[in-house]
Amino acid sequence: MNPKDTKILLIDDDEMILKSLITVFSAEGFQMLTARDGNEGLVQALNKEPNLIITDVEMDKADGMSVLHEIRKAGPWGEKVPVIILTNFDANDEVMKGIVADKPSLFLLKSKVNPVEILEKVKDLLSKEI
Amino acid sequence: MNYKSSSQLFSWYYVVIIVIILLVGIFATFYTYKDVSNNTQKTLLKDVASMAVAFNIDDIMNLTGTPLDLTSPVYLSLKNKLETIRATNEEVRFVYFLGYRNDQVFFYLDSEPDTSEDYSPPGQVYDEATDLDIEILKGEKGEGIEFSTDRWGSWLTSLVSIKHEGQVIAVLGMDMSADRYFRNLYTHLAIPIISTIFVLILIFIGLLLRRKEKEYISFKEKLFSLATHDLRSPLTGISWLTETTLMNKEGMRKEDMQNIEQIHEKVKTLLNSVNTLLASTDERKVKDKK
Repeated sequence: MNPKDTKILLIDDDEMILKSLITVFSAEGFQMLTARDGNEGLVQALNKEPNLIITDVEMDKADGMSVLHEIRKAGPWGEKVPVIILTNFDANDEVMKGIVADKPSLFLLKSKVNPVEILEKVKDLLSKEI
Repeated sequence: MNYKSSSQLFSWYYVVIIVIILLVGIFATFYTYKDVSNNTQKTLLKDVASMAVAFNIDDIMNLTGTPLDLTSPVYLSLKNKLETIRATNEEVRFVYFLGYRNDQVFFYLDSEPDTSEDYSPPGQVYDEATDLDIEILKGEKGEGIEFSTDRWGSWLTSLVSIKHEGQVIAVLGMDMSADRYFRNLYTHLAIPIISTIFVLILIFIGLLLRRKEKEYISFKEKLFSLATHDLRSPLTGISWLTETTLMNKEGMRKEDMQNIEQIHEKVKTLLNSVNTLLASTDERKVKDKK
């Protein structure tokens, strides 16, 4: 896996989160795509077909669960692309019900990880995809 | 976000309970019907049989079943007895003696005063006689009870034969108003029916209250979940941004770097405290639920 050939899409409406992740991932050499709401994220995903998607859940104009659901319906790429759910909702919260059906690759609680740890997990996921 | 209640009003468990209660109610109603019905009819039959024994056979044999009886002291004595029986048994409407000749059923006498419009004079033909009346009069049966309708109304009629040397000389009949009988029956049936309905209403109220309680708990959980998210999110943003800013500290003033380090440490501590607090609150919620 060559980071320079790897596109990662970040979907989050929190500017601080986006800046932090871009700093860390860009330093590693990844090509970064960003979106600030669910709709924009879905358009970017379907047009650019990134190698990995990291998405928040609670956003305007389509939440992360809707984005994941639509991506999984988008043909062979959508079925296989790793999607990381990055949120401050617990996995067993009522609002997260049903997300498991769309097979997110990883579920991360923002308040318990940091950008460097997320980078390690991304590299791990991408190496498994190869 | 759309918060729909996921609770279901009915589970199979409650359906089974309701079906059982309905079946018990139906069985109790049916049993009450049979019990009251049988007891009432048995009592009437027993009463008429007891009364028959009290009459003097010779007196009955002296009746002719014609207008000649009207002046007979025996007729008047028997009539008096029938009137007394009628007066002392409020459930009974008519008491009478029937006879059978020339394939016709007739009245020997009844309990009605001769001024009453329901009075039957001696010898009056009883056209509405039933098969049971005739069977008992012919000696084919000794007693019987049935529902019948005649010109005077609808009745529960109990009959017993009076015999002399094996021959039926008359039949003593006693009529209870069918309305009265059914009123009594329905009064008794009301108990199991109303009890069943009452229990079902209690169950439905219980189910509704339980549903409301579940909806309330679900709403509280969702509210807690939202609050949790909104508390963590800004702290996470500050923690990450300060951490990644410190990754590029070349060219940063030492004082600025130290300030950002302090902010980072403080916000990490705060975030850990929030996570611990929320985790312990969650544990207490689980314990409360248990």
